[in-house]
Amino acid sequence: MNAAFLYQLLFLLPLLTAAVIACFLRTKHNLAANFSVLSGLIFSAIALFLIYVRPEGDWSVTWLTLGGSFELKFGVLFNDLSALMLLVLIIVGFLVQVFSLGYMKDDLGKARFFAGLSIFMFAMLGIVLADNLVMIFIFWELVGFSSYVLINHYFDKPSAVSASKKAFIVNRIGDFGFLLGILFVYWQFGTFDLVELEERARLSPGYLSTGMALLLFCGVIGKSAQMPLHVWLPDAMEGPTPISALIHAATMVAAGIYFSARVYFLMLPGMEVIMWVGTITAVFAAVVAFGQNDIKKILAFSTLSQLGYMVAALGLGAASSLQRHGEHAVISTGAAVAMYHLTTHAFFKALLFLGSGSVIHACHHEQDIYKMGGLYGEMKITSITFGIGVLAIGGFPFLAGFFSKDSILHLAHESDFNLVSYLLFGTTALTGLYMGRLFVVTFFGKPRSAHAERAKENGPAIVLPLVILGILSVIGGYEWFFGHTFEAVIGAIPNAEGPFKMLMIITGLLFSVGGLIVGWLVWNPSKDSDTLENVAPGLFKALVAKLYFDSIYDWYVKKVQDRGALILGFLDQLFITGLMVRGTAEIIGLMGIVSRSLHGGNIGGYVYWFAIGVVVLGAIAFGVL
Amino acid sequence: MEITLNHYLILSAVLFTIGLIGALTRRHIIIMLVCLEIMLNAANLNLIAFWHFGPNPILLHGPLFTLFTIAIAATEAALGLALVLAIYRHFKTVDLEQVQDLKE
Amino acid sequence: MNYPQLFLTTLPELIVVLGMFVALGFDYTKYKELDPQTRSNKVAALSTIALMLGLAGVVWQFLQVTDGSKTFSNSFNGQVVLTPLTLWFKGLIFVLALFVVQFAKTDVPNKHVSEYFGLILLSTLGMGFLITAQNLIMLFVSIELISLSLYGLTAFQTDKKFSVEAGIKYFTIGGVSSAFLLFGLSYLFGATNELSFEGITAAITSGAAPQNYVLIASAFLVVGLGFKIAAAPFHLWAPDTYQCGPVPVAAWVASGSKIASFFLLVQLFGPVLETSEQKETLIAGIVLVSVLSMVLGNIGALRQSCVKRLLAYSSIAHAGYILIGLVAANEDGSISVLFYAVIYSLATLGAFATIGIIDSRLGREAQIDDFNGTWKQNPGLSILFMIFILSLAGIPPLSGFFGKFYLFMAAIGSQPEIASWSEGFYWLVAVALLMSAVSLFYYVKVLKAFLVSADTPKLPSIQITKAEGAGLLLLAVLVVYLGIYPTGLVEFIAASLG
Repeated sequence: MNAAFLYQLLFLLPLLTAAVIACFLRTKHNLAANFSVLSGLIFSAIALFLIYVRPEGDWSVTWLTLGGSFELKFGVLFNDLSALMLLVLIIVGFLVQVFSLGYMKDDLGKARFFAGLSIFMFAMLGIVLADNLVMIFIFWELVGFSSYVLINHYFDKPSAVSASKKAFIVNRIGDFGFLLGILFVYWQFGTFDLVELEERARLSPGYLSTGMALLLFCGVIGKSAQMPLHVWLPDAMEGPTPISALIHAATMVAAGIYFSARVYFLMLPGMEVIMWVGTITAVFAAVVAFGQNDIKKILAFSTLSQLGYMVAALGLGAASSLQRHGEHAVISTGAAVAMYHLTTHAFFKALLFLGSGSVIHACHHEQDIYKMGGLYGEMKITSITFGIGVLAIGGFPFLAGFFSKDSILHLAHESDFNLVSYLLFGTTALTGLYMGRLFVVTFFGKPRSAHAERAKENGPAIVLPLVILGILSVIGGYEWFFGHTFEAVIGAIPNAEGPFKMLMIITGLLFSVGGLIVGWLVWNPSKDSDTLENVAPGLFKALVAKLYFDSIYDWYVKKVQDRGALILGFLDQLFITGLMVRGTAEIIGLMGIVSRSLHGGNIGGYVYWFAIGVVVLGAIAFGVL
Repeated sequence: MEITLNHYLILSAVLFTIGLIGALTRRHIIIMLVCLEIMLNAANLNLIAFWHFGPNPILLHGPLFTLFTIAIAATEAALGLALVLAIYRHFKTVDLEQVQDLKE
Repeated sequence: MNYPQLFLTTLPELIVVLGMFVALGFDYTKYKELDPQTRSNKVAALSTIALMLGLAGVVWQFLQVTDGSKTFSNSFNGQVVLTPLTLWFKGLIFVLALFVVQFAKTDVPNKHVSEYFGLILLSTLGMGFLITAQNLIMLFVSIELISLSLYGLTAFQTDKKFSVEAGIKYFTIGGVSSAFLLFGLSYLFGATNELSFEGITAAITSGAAPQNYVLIASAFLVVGLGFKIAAAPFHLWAPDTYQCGPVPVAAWVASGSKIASFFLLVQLFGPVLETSEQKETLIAGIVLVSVLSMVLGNIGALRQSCVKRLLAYSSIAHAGYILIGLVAANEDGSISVLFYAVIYSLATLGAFATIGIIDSRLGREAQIDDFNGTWKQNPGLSILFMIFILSLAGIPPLSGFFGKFYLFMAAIGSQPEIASWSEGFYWLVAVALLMSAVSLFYYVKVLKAFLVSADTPKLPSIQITKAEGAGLLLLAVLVVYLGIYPTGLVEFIAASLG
């Protein structure tokens, strides 16, 4: 089978699905949902074929040419790395679609939701397969936009609309740096093509620079919600829960990590900064997670923290001395480890989010964990799978999360940065603890609200994805699970041996199970309020406010930016009517200028602006300026 | 003294500047219209001068252009006066400084 | 002179003029007793027919010219140059005018219906002639035809104080800029002793023209044309005009007039910039205007609450972006300028038209808050508006993104071998990127207003007429289409320019 045809099919399928739903099935909600899932099934089948069979052939078309001197291609670069990312995308994507069948059953915007999901799959596919930076950027924006639309799903809630706006703008701030970075790359290497870039970067490493790496990393900071642009992700939880699982936990936010792994050769000079950003995010988010009572917000901060791990791994890999140049090792150690953790994280975090979705669905859209409780009795499958997810993220030995976290900590241990190593190590303990708190308070004790009392286990469309993801969270970390298909990535992961391995197993056991036990002791599920809140209200308040990052941004917009615009407007007025006082005889000093500036809109003043432009242009023309 | 192209150019530049300064400083709309006319006529003077001192005055390019611009200047003045009437109806003044209700 | 040929060459314009007189005549006689809205519908229908016939004429000419027919080879010393490129753009102007007429007919400012449409048709003719003009006289006449019609249209609501005030502001600044333009043209004539662009280009490239005259001419032309495209610091008329004139007129000023002006800019400055010894100086001047426009336009837009005014500032910023393509001073630059002018006009016409529809139903000018809850009441209209705004914001894959991409690539590509950021145009592109990031704030502010629900939506459910709906839909489709498949248009422009 010709690969080019399959690629085209892969790109067309979700687009067509969205188009068909938008045009014909807007009001036929169930039909739209089933149609979308069916198309997702075919999509996954084609993708699996591509991943495991790897048919011969490329696909690349010239999208546009600019005056013959520049060509922009639309093409596919398929290697082990993109295969792994594609695998994650289709597994989580398909399961989320199935889950949504149950979760969104009675939603009035179901058709719109599934159309948005298809658009997202299309955009994400573009990022995964793109073979040049411009194409990546285009799809990068497109996922941003589909995320915007999907966060907006409950647009009746003002908070959802605000959250989507925030996500959009914060992402664009990161993207500004990203674009500058792409520009920088083009300036130095004269191409956008990834393969050519790698070639040229190898031949002339002198063109790489820290500035370039960090500018590109700005995009990653935005999309993967690293400090200080992390503020949008917790708010993005306003979207439907399946969206949180797919977009804001497993795939889109991981796109930054994937991108860094894909162009790690450009990122090399900035690795130390990248490592620190990741580490700080990991610690910060884990701490703030203790102050949240919304089940999805806790998971969001845990996502931030885990993304921090991945970013730290990226930075550590290059900083450490562990680089292997084996036959298949076309990727740096750090990138490989980050991708490894990305994969396992996608499984257990999607599991946790979908599990929370199951709980929220059962509790009639109650999200406060202190209004849940006692769900274990009625929702056994959800509870058990959720428990597996909690253990996996806590690093319980021989579950998926254990292996990937192990390799990150191993990298940190081997590196010269002891502090990073300690911080990341300590954060695993925090992870076990806040997840323990979440699990214990949600599922045990007695029901703390009427909704929780009446909660019943959900139907198969919701439970089945949980079971599958639960299994994946158990087996998803073993080498045999990946086989040799992703050799270039998986083969580059260093293995810990000897005492360190032992240490990992013991601490993994300690932190994950210990987290649950300590969680039970501290946040006793029979209590109605948070222990931390009672013991240290001041600290808790700071944590609830997410350590005031959002407030700082609000303050900035209100006080600095808006005022800046206001001052500029004032200067405008001042200039129009004041500074250019009409006629030479009327120069009357500053007071007069200010008073005159109060009435703008003067025609003569406008013409003065004009005249000043003329004078400056004249000055340039005659070489004065 | 022989009058050269440069003399005409300087004269037209002076006229243009007078017109511009007038347009900038005069408050009376009608005076402002007059100043616009002066600026246009400075350009017309240029055209004629360039044509006259140019290599092929037989082609009549300059006067032709000037004829067109004179006609256009007339229409512009007509439209301007119509606007002045409308302004006067609303503001009861033709002082430009008073016509500034529009603000940010 | 070959009169039959002249007749055929100007056939579309003659048709439109005839149509205009027919409309005027009917309006003064037969329709005299009808109520304004009925008259408006009838006159708009006549204008539409006239424009359609005119468009058919343009298409016919286009087919003749692309077939290699010699019918239109005589350009009358550059007065009316019919090439595939000029005819395509003229056709585009006619199409846009058709849209504007559809949007204008539901909300005619006062009882002078036929004059209103007559002025729109006259300005259309002016734009068409400006595009085909390659002769200084024709250039000036058509620019004045556009300007005078637009002054009239802006001040058309003579019973409204603000409309008249905006009109007189537009007129005075426009008058000064026309004087600058004419003064510049006179120096261009003096430098080359030619009136046709062909002769002027030849004189400049051969070095026969005195450089100082060319320089003075160019400086004055930058001022005169900077006004037309609303580039800072010659931009101050734009916010008032856009806000206070009738909305379809604002849409027309922002779309048709801009396309024509940028077309002229490319034709006039293209050769000068590519060959003139004064290239560096001129480019420095244009760069200054471009940066000023982007900064003042985008930051000015941040603090606007009136949507029309916001779009006016955004149009100033867009003029700044487009000038980046001009400073590239090569063929890529020219193509990107023309391409961006087209897609910008489509998106901005759509945005203004939507606002016009909302304004007319609201009975006053819309503030951003007024849009609250529109999504729920009018999802279709909201989606279309979203497409226009996102294209203006440059979000891929809409055409606005590709337009900007072209402009920036052209500027970067114009100086491939450079050593540091300060050389070449990387820094200019960086400024543009920063400014488009800033622009997101106000674009998203508008979008948010659409989505956020209001307890009492200020807008009722809006019934749009078929013509309006079809027009908006078509514009949106074009905006999306040119984003996904820009190559066709770009290659056409490239082939016709080269």
